Amino acid sequence: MKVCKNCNLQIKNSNYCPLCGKCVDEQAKENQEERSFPVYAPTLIDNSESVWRILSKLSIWGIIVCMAINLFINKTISWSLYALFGLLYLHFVVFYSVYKKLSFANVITRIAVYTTFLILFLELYTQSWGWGMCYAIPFLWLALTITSAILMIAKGWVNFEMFKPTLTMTVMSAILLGFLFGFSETFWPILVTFFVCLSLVCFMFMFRFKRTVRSIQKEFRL
Amino acid sequence: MGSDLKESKIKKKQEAQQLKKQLKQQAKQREKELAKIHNIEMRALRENWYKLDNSAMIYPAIGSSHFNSVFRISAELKQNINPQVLQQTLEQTIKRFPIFNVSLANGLFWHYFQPLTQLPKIEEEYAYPCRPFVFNKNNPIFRVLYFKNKICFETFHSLTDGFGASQFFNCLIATYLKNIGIKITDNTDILSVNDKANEEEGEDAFRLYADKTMSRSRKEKKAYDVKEPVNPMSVLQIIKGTASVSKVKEVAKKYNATINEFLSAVYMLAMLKNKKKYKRNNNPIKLSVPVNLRRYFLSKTLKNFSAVFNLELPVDKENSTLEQIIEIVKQQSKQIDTEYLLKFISKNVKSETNFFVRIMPLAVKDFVLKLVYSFVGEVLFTSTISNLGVIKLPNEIEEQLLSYYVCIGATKVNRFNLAVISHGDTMEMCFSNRLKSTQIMKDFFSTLSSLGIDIIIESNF
Ligand SMILES: [Zn+2]
Repeated sequence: MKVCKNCNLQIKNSNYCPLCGKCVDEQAKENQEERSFPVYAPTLIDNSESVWRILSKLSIWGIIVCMAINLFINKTISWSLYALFGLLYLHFVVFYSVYKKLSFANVITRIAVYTTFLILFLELYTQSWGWGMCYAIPFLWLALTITSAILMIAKGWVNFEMFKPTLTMTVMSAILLGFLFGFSETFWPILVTFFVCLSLVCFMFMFRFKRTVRSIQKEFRL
Repeated sequence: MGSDLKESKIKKKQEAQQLKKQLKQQAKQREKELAKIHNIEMRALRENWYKLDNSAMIYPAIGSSHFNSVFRISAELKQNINPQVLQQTLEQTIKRFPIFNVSLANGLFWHYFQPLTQLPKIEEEYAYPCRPFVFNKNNPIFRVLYFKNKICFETFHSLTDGFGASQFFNCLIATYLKNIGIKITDNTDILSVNDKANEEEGEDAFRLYADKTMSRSRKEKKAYDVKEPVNPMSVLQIIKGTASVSKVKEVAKKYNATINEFLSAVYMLAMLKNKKKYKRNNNPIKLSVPVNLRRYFLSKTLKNFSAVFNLELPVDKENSTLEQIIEIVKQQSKQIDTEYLLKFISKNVKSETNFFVRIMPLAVKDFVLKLVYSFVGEVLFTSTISNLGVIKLPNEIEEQLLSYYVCIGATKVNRFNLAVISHGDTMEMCFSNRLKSTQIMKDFFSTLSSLGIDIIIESNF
């Protein structure tokens, strides 16, 4: 066994002391044969953390520069806020889904939730009340619910996790319906969406009762 | 006569052909039925799900794409690993531990485990230990690796703790050795691959022992933070020191301490040297010590069932000698009793059953947990020392082993940790280090060496 005189410790399977870096066997060439760990050089993926951090920093600085220019020229931060929200949307929906390899059901749920936030922001920020909550959001949910239902039924109920977006949109449309009922006269789109979602959930309960109950238990940890 | 013979021959031929057809049809029918049963089983498996235990819930929240809480158990055998046999062994073993063959899925409000329909595959080790897992519905949250004569089991901490992992790993090693023709007659200390999975192995023991009337205050001071240049999250240095258990015991006995108390004190002393040299902040040095709750509460669970206790070296006692530090550690260790642990369990379960926590959507819950953990979690201790104690293995397995050790990964804040495990008369102390400097590890091993304990060092760098 080689000994590091500097640390007074025995060194196994290496000609260098890993603690002080000193060579413990100057004559012998490093014998990689004995090593019980693979020899590995960090790749770009190993350093992707730094790449990711650089990209995040670049985005943050980009937004700050946008805001500064906006503030300097227009004395407001009006258009740079669009850039900020657009970037956040891109991050949470596109990058996150791709990076985490999310399932289709999770991607649809994400699109439903984050696009709703984006539309609400646009509606609030441009003070153009009506188009988002009354039309855009209900029709988006309706389209996503129908997509989930088709995917679930067409594959012979195999893809039952598509129940998750359907349930999410049923709950969200119930909340929006309750909200619009008191504040707006145009609530037929959300009413239609809510009934389609609800009928789908009822349909599942009628024809796939056990699996639906199990899915609800799973989602809510009951 | 001749035509009769011919006719009977033709008849027999036809009958034989018909029988063949029938058998073929029957076989096809059987195949179809089997496929149907298989599909139903697979579907049932997909629809089945397991809850994460109480302490498992924190790990998915605090993880990121570059880091998640992964730890590893490794064993080096006397002969090189046969990948085919290891794959076959893994397939046998995972059937004994169905709660391990799962992926981590996101519910609307909670994470849950989804049983996998396919069997896990072994991998050849090529990179650094404790690489993070990518969570999706097809990925198991453990991996079995091999390299030359070494088998490693790496797992995400939500799945199990050190005890559960060692039970799985010991069963895997024993089955592997049997499969390559080594006779193992004594099976008392390991779970047999031929036994059926016990329901108690999957229970959440935290919920079983939680007492609603008990609670624990969580006010603790921040710990000394070794802020030194680090390697990227995925680059992990392993520094393993091997010593004789009897020798360490003998030295610890001189100080009238247990092995755990002795090693904790030596570790604190090494960190103290770093603090005195660099004085990066004046918070006390704190050492997190995981406690296996199975020693205090009866449970057969293979899921997480451990608590943590933080040892602290007060700032005003930083001029202490090793002997004095051991005394401080001994005094503080006395606080670890059933009452303390019950309070720990109860407090954690209480937070989980809180109404507001329950109705929080998962994304918000994860965000809040991450925030809470960064303020009152890992900043409360400088490092971790995890002692899995003595692993009892049958003599036939012990004879085949060259080494058996654990490494517990390193986090963003706790950049170096120590895991200790003993088998036979061998004690393996394994540091996982993200710091570019190895001074603390050098001080730790040098102190042990200066006390007369022979140490053999090995590293992956
Ligand atoms: Zn050295």
